[in-house]
Amino acid sequence: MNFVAPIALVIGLLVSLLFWFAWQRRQSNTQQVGSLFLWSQIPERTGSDDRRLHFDLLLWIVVTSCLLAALAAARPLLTHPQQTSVALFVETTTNDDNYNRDVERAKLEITNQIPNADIEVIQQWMITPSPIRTDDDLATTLSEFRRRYPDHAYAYLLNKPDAGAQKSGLVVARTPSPTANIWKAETDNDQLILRSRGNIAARVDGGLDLMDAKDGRTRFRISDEGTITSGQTKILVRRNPLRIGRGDAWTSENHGALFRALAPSGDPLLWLGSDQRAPAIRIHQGTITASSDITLTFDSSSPLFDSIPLDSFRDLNALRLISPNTKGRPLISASLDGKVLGHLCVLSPSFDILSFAGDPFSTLDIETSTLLLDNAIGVVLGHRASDHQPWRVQTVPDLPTKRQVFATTFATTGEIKESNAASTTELASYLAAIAGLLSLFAGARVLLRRKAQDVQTERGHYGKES
Amino acid sequence: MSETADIFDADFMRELETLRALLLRLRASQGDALAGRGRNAGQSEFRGHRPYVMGDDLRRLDWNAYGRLGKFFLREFDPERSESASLLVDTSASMQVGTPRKLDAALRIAAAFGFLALQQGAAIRVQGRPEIQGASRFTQVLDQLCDIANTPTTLGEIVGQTSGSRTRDLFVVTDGMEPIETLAPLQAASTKGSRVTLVFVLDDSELNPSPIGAVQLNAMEGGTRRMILDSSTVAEYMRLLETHLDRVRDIANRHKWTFAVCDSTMDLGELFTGQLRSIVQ
Repeated sequence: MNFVAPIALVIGLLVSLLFWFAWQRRQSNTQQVGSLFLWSQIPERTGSDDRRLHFDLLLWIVVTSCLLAALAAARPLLTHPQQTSVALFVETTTNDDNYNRDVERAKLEITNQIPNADIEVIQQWMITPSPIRTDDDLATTLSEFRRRYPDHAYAYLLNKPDAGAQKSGLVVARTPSPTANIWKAETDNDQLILRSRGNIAARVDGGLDLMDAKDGRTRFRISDEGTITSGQTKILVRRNPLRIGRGDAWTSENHGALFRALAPSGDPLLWLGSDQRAPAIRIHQGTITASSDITLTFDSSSPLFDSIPLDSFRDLNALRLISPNTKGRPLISASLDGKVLGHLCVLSPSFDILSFAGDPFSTLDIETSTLLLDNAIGVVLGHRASDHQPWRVQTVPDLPTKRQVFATTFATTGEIKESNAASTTELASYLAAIAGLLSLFAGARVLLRRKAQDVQTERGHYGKES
Repeated sequence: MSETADIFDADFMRELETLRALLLRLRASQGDALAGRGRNAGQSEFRGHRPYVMGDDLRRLDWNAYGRLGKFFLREFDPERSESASLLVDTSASMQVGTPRKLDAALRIAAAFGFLALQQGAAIRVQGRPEIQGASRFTQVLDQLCDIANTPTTLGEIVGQTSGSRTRDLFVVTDGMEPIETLAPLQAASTKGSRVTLVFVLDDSELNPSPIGAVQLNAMEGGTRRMILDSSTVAEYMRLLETHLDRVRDIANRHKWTFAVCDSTMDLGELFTGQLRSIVQ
């Protein structure tokens, strides 16, 4: 803004000139008339208020117009701080019922930091819940967040303080008050082991007996199904039996002994025998072959042979073989003079049916048969019968991650980095427009007054009347 | 001091010629001959006939006599006795205002009337000064008009001079800004047979004052008055002016005067072919 700009100076001087003319006019407002013959018949009035009002209106309009024009010529600038845009990063939790409340709390902290600035929360960035998230993952995510919003100030709503975040912006604790949350629940045979932040306060129902609790590790012995309720979290312990069906081919004494040793009956997960359903372990799938000098080859990488000496299979004397054209992955093959005659064991392409040409479970000794069946179940189900956990844990809702559970209450740290940039608005055009409008108004007023006088003149012009 | 050259300059003289031509055309359009049958026509009394001789004006042939007698006779007229017209101009102080001055306009209007009267054979007497006759002596009329301009005389005084006058025509130019009673001598002259023409010359500021707000009115005749010239004051003034003029108009109608009101800028042709048309036909 520069009032000594030539145009501003000239217009400013014009204002004083206007006042001078107005003063002169007021001082010399006299009129010569020929006679007071008619005027003397009108009552004399000298109201000073009338004079001032009548005179001043037009003058002040013009003066105001000139002052605005002078101001416009001086090019005034209105400086105001640029709005600080804050990008808010929110680290979420799995059970995030308090999400909105926490975000509002973070916004309040931001407002407290910059009381006179306009805050625009443009992004609420959430970490996708993941049980395997680590501090390194968070650092990577925060880095990506800052890279995406390079022109913003940052605020973070985190479960734990983070050095990188604290350096770059305001860090607000996601957890307003400490709670003991369970972050892991698992069974180990007949034990339920809970891992939590601090010792849990829980209600136990059913066949669960507390064994010990130490350093966030609580153990229960399971005698029957039961429930543990801790806060909003409910942990259900249910039976998880390995139910196996038995087909017609499984009729020998060995079969019966194995069946009873492995699993109870019931709604089967697995079928033993020649049933058509899957997953299944089938026997007697091959045809009789009259050859006694065959050579057996094994797929030794298969878990079917874990802990079983391969020599045990040498005694099978391939009486039966599955056709070599059968689709699937052969685990034991028979060949003669380098030529494959057939297979003793084939895993189906869908990996859920294991077919044996004969019946090794009756032929082998009972210990080997047991190991072989345990391995075979592991091949088609993914876990051996010996590894099957008899109890299953279900949590409602899903448990949070360890990081989320160990989220700490901490004082708000860091600060919003305000934008130092200031924006300016030039008012010259607005002022010039207003001055122009006022000038037009003044001009219109003068013209209208003159026109009214002309009309009056024409109406009263005696010389032109007929 | 007003000089003839100042008021009656070359433009004014051209204006008079234009006015004369305008009036001739006006009469022609109404069927009057140039010789005119107007009241001021120079030949109005029939004297008799005489035989036609070569070179006589054929327009004066008496065709009725030819029809009856079979010979050409010329009609002869005696020149009419010259009529006398008095020019009375208000030269009071109130006539000194206006743009142009009301006095200048009044003198021009009076001069124009004198010019037309002389053209039609009438004698002119300017406010009690020696009578002037003949169109060629028009400049003397102008001189006398300039002379009276330097002697301020009110309407009452000049109208008073008409008392006892038997002048046929009285041509009075004033601004009329005096009480209506000042016109009494004119009414008296009118009853004695004088034809009165009364012309009010006013300045535009008097006919149409502007609502200019607070103002001090300084009268040329003396006295001041502070006024707020707003629309209501102007309306009141206009009402008073109307009333005053209506009263004058009533008197004029009653005594069969010719009455005109004009502003000081009015064109002479417009005035004489308009409001004063009856006195020039």
